[in-house]
Amino acid sequence: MLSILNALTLAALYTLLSAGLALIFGLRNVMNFAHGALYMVGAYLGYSVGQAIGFWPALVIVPLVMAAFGAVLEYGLLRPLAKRSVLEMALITYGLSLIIGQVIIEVYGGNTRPLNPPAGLGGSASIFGVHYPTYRLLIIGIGLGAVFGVFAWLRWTRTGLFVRAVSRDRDTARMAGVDTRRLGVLVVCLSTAFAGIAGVLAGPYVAVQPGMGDSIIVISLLIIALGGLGSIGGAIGASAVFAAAATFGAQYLTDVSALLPYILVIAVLIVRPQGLGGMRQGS
Amino acid sequence: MKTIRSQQKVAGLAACLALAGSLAACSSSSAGTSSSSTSGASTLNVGVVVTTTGPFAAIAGNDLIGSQVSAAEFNAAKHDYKIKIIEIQTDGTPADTLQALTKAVNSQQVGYVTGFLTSDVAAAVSAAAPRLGVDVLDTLAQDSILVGKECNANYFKFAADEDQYALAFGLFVKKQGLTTFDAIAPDYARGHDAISSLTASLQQAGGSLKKTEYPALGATDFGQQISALSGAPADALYVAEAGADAVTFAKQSAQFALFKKYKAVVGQGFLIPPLVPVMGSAVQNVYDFVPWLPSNPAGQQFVTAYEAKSSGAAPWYAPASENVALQFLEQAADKAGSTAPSKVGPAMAGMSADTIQGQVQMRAQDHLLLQPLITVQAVGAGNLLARDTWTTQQTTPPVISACHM
Repeated sequence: MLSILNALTLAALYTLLSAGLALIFGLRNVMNFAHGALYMVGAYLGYSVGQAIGFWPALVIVPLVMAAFGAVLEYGLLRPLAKRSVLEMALITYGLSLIIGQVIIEVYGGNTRPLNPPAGLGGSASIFGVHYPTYRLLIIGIGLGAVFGVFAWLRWTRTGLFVRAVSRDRDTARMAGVDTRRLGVLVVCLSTAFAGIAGVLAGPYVAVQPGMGDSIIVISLLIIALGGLGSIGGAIGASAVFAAAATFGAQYLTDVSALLPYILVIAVLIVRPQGLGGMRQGS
Repeated sequence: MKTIRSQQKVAGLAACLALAGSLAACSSSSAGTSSSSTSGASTLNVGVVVTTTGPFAAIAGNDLIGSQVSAAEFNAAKHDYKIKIIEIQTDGTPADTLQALTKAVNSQQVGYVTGFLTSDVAAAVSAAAPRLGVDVLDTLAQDSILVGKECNANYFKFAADEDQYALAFGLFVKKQGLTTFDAIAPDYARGHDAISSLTASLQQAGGSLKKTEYPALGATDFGQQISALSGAPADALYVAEAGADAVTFAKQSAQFALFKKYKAVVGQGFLIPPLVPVMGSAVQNVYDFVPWLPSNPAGQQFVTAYEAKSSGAAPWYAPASENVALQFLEQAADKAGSTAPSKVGPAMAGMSADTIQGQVQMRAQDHLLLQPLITVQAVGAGNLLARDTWTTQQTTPPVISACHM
């Protein structure tokens, strides 16, 4: 049971990050290498807002601030460079991640920042007979909430229908009258907001430091490759698979546990090049 | 169809880029292409490696400050040569560090390299040092292999060696009466070496190692390792996680109340002083070993200068080790009458000096600095209190026979 809860915690964090990454690729055709840096910004903003007015307000304010930053990103960078190739955009966003990292170091310095769980969530709770840290249960709850929220949005709203249409075939969706530019702003804002939520949640969970986005972006990219580029459902499913491989690998295959998720990604992409969820067909 | 193929290529590219990024951290690499270096006639050009990304980025800059204030201190004193500090920024991987170092050797005549050299980086830099014509002043890496079968005339270990830590650890374990240990260490060279040393120390002390966990370097989640350790815990827990990983592990352990399940928790490189306040109550009562503390009366000038340059933050043992290394460098250059690494290195071997650590010696046979160690314990809001001091005689390991200069 403990292993399942550990896998769910990790999957929740990965879902928040990879769903945002998959959204922005599906709609804007951008492999956003700055997503890890945006997650780091979210954690640092969570630290600042958390210190000033508390964790819970930070969990609301930071995603909103990050969404506003997403709009700036869309109008200031992604839209003017919309005709660039995927590889060029990957390199440009990688450069952006370096700039963001340096800005954070200038503003906050290089030292690790302390961020504790909110009052009442520092202990553990009994769930299915297992004592489990309450804060981790919160992460699982928000992760599951995000999954159902995204699912409901995509499945039952008009905007969600458009997103699915554009993700599947952009040109046809455009010919059918979908305003892809307007949709693009919404999706980029949503993606950066997700990075903000993940950053705030990660604050009491990992070390808040300038390098925290480096390893997570690698994992997030692997997850969206595993899930099928641009497939939001695939990214969510792949997050669960990746987290399960990491967690159960650490328990049963300790010698190769660090490599197991990567071996899994290679194996899946060889057998099923389009990923678990299949790729979108538009460009 | 064409579009799908193109998307499949993009998927492959994404996977390759991501894999390359993840594997870079644990890869070793071939050295650069430069063949020689010369230092300036009147200056000792010291390249200080600063890691700007990864789990150690938060503390890597401390070595630069330590070397800068030390250079200023020694340059103000009467010496034949001045030290010039040259910052070398890297991403912390062996490949990138070698590339940046080669460039610094060729373009800025760097003759000595120090700074934030993690174990794998130090191994790569040490191997390339004879070809690059530089001397390595290692103030961080703990691997004994660098003064063992991979030792060379251009490498000098100022950081306390894992064999020295093992001796201090053995004395501590005996004193505390701890017989069984669980352990957690990062899944790379330093972690595995630390566990080998721990096993040997415990065997000598009549104890044993029960469970060992090896999470990946830069792990986001330690939940599974913590769960595994929680079942039937031993007397004590040994932790060799370091840097940002140490903070993450401490935070998550506190959420699982892991440390409370042990009689004692003992770290090695776990309680890096600048990170202890960040860990806060999560590491209350945890022990570790350090070669130096800012309360050392001999280091007060260095402490004051360091604090003035770092917004009041006190130095820890790695920046302090920079002070010792640069003092040895300055005195060895005076003795050799040269700034050339080929002459300064031999002068440094076997040299003794009265430093901020007290009287220490660079052993000639393997270039290991013989130094005392201190057992510290985390108390209050991030304070480290000295509990025991182990003398140089107690912490001096035998020369490893595989070392041939």
